[in-house]
Amino acid sequence: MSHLHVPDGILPVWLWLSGILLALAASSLSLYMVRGMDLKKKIPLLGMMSAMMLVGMSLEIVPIAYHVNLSVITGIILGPWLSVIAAFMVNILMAMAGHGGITVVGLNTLVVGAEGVVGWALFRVARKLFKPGLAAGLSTLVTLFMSTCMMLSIVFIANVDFASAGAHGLREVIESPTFTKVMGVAKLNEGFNFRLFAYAAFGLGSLGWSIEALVTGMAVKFINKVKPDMVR
Amino acid sequence: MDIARIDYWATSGTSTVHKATAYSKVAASALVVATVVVSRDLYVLVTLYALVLVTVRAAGLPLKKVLAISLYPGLFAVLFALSQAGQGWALPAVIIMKALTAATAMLLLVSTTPYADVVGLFGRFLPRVVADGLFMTYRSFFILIKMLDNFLDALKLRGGYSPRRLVRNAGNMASGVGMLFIRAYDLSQRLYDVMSVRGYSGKLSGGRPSGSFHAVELPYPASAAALLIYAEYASRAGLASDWRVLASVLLAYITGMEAIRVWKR
Repeated sequence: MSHLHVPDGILPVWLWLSGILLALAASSLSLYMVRGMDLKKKIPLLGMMSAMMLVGMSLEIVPIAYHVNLSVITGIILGPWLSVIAAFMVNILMAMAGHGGITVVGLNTLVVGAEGVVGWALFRVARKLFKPGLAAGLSTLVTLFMSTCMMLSIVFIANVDFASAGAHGLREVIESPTFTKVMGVAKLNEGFNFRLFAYAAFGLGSLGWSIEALVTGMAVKFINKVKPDMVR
Repeated sequence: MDIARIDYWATSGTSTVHKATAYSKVAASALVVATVVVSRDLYVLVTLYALVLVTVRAAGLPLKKVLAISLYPGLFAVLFALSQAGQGWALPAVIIMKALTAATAMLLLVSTTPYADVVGLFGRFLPRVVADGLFMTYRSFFILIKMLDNFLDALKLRGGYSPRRLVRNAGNMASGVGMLFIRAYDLSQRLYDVMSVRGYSGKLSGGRPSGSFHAVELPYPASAAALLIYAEYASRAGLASDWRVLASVLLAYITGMEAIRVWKR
């Protein structure tokens, strides 16, 4: 739920193209940040952890059409920079298997990559206050709420009818520093019920976040008992 | 997702589509996705979908199973389409056709092209870490999914899974995920050691895709290009699509593929 299962040709070209450019920039920054690491040694680990994300994504919780991403736990193990690269690779593979559009790979990389980075950062803070399992569970819950908000923002932006605002309005929108001004100039496409979409995403999503937080929390608790170095 | 089955189709197939170079199949898939992106005409999309399905049949892939896999993104498209239902039935139908066509085209690509060839091709444009990571991820997936299957079997055999005890099941499953992460971590270190012994120097993939271009692989990308040009022309001219043009493209493609099949026999 937290990333976009939107097929090709639905989102405006400027939006998915921006997503691809931003994802490339994020991946390039990540590659730059890990330049000091022995990447030769990290590639098998990167591959294994990305494959774990794929395994998680292949386990569908049918009644609510949700699958776990395991992106937070991957972020905790790999660190923030490698988790962005892992998100990029996983989304390419998912798109090739028909799971989400190929043009949405950029936006999905941003959302799933942000889950890895934010989850890692929250876990670093939370583990000072709670036990590792609880810290991982809480970090996952907050992170997935954040990524669902990101996903909804993308859907909202995709449905803002800039054309109806006219050329002058469009310039105002682009130059506008505040969200309220955007709302004042542009309007949502007629026929698209954003509120209904948001209710569905938060309603089904909250159940999914709880499941993923439980799985991540208990998995981290288990890892911390058996191999604590992995989650330090 | 059924990556294991897709991998089997890609490596075991012997059809003309399987033998075509990765370049022509990637080009054709890109043209199909480009048409899906630019066109909002239902008839163009239906014709394009028919073109992809004809190619699936020509590749000797089981049509029902391919359709079943491609329905997964279609399911999400239905949810998205329903949120647009206020504008009548045409827009939801266009959304669903876009999803099905693009997903089936991507499935056709990966079901008829060995993964090493696809990664080899993309690896020429991607950083080495990403290209090698993609290769490693794909291979690791099969190892991990096998481990997961074994874990689930063991869990059921030892009474760790009971349909009525959801919390206990979730706890056991989560421990299993934790164990799987530990096994994956250990395996990655062992893999690195084994590869180092065998002379791994930080380069896994990147070979050129095998095979050379033959004229028989031209119809698929050519037909997709024809539909893209027509869709763009009709869109710019503000015209509704002409079914006779679309039917001609499809008929010419089917005839061409049938002629190739008879000639190859």
